Amino acid sequence: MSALTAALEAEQAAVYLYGVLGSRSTGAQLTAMQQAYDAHRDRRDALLGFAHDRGITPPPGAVYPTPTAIDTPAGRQHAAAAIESSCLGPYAALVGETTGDLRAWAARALGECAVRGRGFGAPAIALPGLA
Amino acid sequence: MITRRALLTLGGVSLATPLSACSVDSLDRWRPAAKKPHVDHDQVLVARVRTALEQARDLAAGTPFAALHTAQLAALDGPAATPSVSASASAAPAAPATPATAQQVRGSETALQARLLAACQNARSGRLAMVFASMAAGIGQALA
Repeated sequence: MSALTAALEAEQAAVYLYGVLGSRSTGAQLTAMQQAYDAHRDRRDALLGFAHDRGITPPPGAVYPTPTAIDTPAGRQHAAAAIESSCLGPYAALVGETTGDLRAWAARALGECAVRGRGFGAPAIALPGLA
Repeated sequence: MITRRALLTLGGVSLATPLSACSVDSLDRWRPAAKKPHVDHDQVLVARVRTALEQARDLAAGTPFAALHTAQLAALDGPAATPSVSASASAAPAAPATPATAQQVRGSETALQARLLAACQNARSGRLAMVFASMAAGIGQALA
């Protein structure tokens, strides 16, 4: 199931990148980064379980390019918004490729990423993940 | 593209009765699968979602939610009809809503979001499920 693999890759990248952003954040921004990290880690772990249940070999972890311009709070906010946006398409695709509980789970994940991205300053759009 | 006319024709609904004039509840009680087996399950879902979006748009007139739903309604007519969302949102007039009205709109939007997620679950077409899930996510963003 390619969509599941793509969602897992997106979450693996998100967990890595939020770790980087969190290590450079302080105060309220650190709290927000930690919450986002925890949410994506939980989603990644759930996706690993879904992959295992379906006999899908998870993609290997990777070292992802560190976002540029993250030395300022505004830069980190922007990078976090980009992380959330990068998860929208894979989750929308996962909704389309699945049924039942996994589809519902993917739809909730899509919504959470959209809302979290908005919290980090991403623009509101009518059709997140499809635009 | 699923046009309203096609839906009306397939559903056997009189053209003199626009879908927007039907209440959501009455559509919920509609049982085309039992009475009209030729009506496609997903087309019924689209009709229900369209009606719910139209009602939410009308209720939210003057707020950014109205522009959001205008864009989402266009998506039901196909990608080519989907306007720029950011342009739609920026064109929306400032919301002069009273606190009570704003609360009513938020309640309506929350209910619509739940309806869209339920429609996503029930859609037989994966593509349609994606659209419904994405619409729900868009509402979530606007509510945030």
